[in-house]
Amino acid sequence: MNATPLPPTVRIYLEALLLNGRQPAYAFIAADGTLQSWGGEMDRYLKQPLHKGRPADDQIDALVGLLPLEGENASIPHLMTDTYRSADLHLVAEAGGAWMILLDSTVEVHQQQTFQQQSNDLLLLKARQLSMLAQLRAHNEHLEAILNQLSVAAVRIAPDGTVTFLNAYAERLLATADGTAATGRPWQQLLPLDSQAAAAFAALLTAEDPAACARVRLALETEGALRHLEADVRLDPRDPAFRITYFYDISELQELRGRLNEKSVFEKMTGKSEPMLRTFQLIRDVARVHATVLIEGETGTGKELVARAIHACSPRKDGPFIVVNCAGFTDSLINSQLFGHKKGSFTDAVSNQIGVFEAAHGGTILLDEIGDIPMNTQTRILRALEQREIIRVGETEARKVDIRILAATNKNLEEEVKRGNFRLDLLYRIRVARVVLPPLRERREDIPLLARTFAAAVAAENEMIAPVIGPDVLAALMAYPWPGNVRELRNAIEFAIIRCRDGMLRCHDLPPEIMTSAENEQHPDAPAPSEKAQLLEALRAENGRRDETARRLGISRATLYRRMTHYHITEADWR
Amino acid sequence: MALKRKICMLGAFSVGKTSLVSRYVLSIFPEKYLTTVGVKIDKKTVEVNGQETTLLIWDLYGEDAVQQVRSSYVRGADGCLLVADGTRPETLEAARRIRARMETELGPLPFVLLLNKCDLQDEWCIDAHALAALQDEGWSVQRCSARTGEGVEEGFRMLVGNLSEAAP
Ligand SMILES: Nc1nc2c(ncn2[C@@H]2O[C@H](COP(=O)(O)OP(=O)(O)OP(=O)(O)O)[C@@H](O)[C@H]2O)c(=O)[nH]1
Ligand SMILES: [Mg+2]
Repeated sequence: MNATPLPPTVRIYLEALLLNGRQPAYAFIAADGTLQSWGGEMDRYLKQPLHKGRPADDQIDALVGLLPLEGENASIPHLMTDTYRSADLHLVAEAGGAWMILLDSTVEVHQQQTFQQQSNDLLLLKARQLSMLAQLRAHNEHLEAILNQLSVAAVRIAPDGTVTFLNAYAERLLATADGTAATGRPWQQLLPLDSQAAAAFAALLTAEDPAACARVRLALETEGALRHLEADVRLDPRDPAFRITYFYDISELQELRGRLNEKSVFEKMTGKSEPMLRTFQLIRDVARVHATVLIEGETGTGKELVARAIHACSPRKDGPFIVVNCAGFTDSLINSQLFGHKKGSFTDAVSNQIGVFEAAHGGTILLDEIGDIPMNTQTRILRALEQREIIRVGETEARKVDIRILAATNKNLEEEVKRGNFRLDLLYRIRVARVVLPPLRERREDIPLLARTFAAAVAAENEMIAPVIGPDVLAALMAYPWPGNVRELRNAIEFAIIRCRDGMLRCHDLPPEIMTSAENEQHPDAPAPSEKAQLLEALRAENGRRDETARRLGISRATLYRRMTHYHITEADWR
Repeated sequence: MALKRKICMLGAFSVGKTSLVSRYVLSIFPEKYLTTVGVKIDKKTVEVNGQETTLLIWDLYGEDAVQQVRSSYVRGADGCLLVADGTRPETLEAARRIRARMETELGPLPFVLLLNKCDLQDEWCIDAHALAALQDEGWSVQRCSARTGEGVEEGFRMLVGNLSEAAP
């Protein structure tokens, strides 16, 4: 039921959201607090049926205390509803009452929960370790025994920087590459840090009151794996000239933080626009076979993401996935990067080095910007593809490799072949299957969905609640041509979120070029006005029924909504 | 129809807000820590001065170093239970900060401070002296434990009592 007409801005906004899986429900509450009308997917959120004319806050608990609004809007992000979904509840003051809008945010809440849980668990663990330590003073002769019981890496460092003790956990975490004991050596050998990190750590070590200093974050390569650590320094309770450093391994958290956005992007890639749906099916199809795939698309369309998706859906998903950006390398560098080299085979080859073809054994390699690979390397790649073996630079003996190759390019490789820059036989070999990614301007209906996905991801990375994207922002995003495609959209959202202050993205938060474009949009390349007239006529003829109108015009329902949004068409226009 | 009152659970993360609500409303104590994202509203009907009153208890996410509880959740509340973990002194500081922020943004509100986890005697770090100091500053304070149930009813009742004094 929908007795009160929605204001145009609310309607456009809701329709865009409807298209993008946020399942809006809305209701109008009169100034006296009674519920007047409602629509959308209310039963998604409420178990009890609503009653017209009765007080809204008797029927919806979350509204108790909030009505009347008195001209001030209100928002309650991530409210757990009766149906155990999470929803963002917004109250928008309007003449004569208020609109209540509910938007599904269940997926975001789940993602945020996973992240927040890890983060909190880690903080609690740290707090517990430190309080245990504070109690150490009482029985300090057992320091080492106690340190050994901690499930955190503890390292004791002498005033001259020599490591005098590592607990069992530290030995595991900081396992030195050559397996020698670290005790008795300077900490710099135990912690091979870059100069900036080393300086920060040294400052923490020599601080008079290290407990008052902020923790230092370090990235440390141990046995080939990159670990993210947080270091915290305390005075040794037995001898304050000595320091005890605690290393907290936050790699998982770091990784989770990274995955949080990848995952939502990947999931949301299963979006609604036709070209993308086709692409997803294609990804699923090619993932199952071993074939080499050429991924084509403009810059920023997400070619690497497609490659990751293919890898993740393939039987090799537990193997490594390595991206090599082939642009801007010299012949010898790219050769040794891909195939490895023997010590002394060229000037910079100071040690034996394995290449990514070997490192990716059992997994997948993405050769990004393959159009930029020099001829000589192309020949080697062709050989690797055909023989399934490689030869390190400077060696003669071939080594078997089991890898899957994906290639990506924003060039037209056939043109490159004609110009003599690319081998035709290699093109045939890598183009066994093709995935062509559409530019963002050809799938505009995905923009609201992508914008929201990015907003959630960026917010999660920064550990904040995802802001709401206002209808004016959505309109500006839809109008912009996006030469930099999805990447540019993501950057724009990131930019806006950092500027946004109050949980609601507004137009003035967007990068200037997007706003400028939105202002000019009406003028030069605005579509012919007759299209709007056509739309209105069809809507009028079908009495506003969207399915029929779309059919009448020979366009999809999604396209109809998109055009209606574009022309700001509202019910009042055709009635 | 019963009178409805909105009360909010506020405090640092993992101090036991969710556990206290669960103990008070359902008489259960969940051992496993599952952090809250956003807000969940629970209900309990009690009698206040002969008047049936439904408490709508807003269990909010906890604060950490980077995430503050937004006052938009607390708008329209009749009172707040500030929860601190008696084994983590920094959570008491967090409670003070939250109260100050809410009062700046929303005006004065009835607050009761719950010092939770009092079953963990060995790790308890709030001595009688600190407690007295809080009370001197005008705080209503209740020691409690969601795990054993000690002091939980009392804490909620203390706030509800304050509410009825400030009834609309
Ligand atoms: N020993 C003890 N543990 C408690 C008590 N209350 C809560 N806990 C534990 O403390 C942890 C956190 O409890 P929650 O109730 O989830 O805390 P919260 O304040 O809701 O946390 P957030 O939602 O993350 O802000 C859980 O592991 C609980 O089992 C208590 O009275 N005694
Ligand atoms: Mg909780």
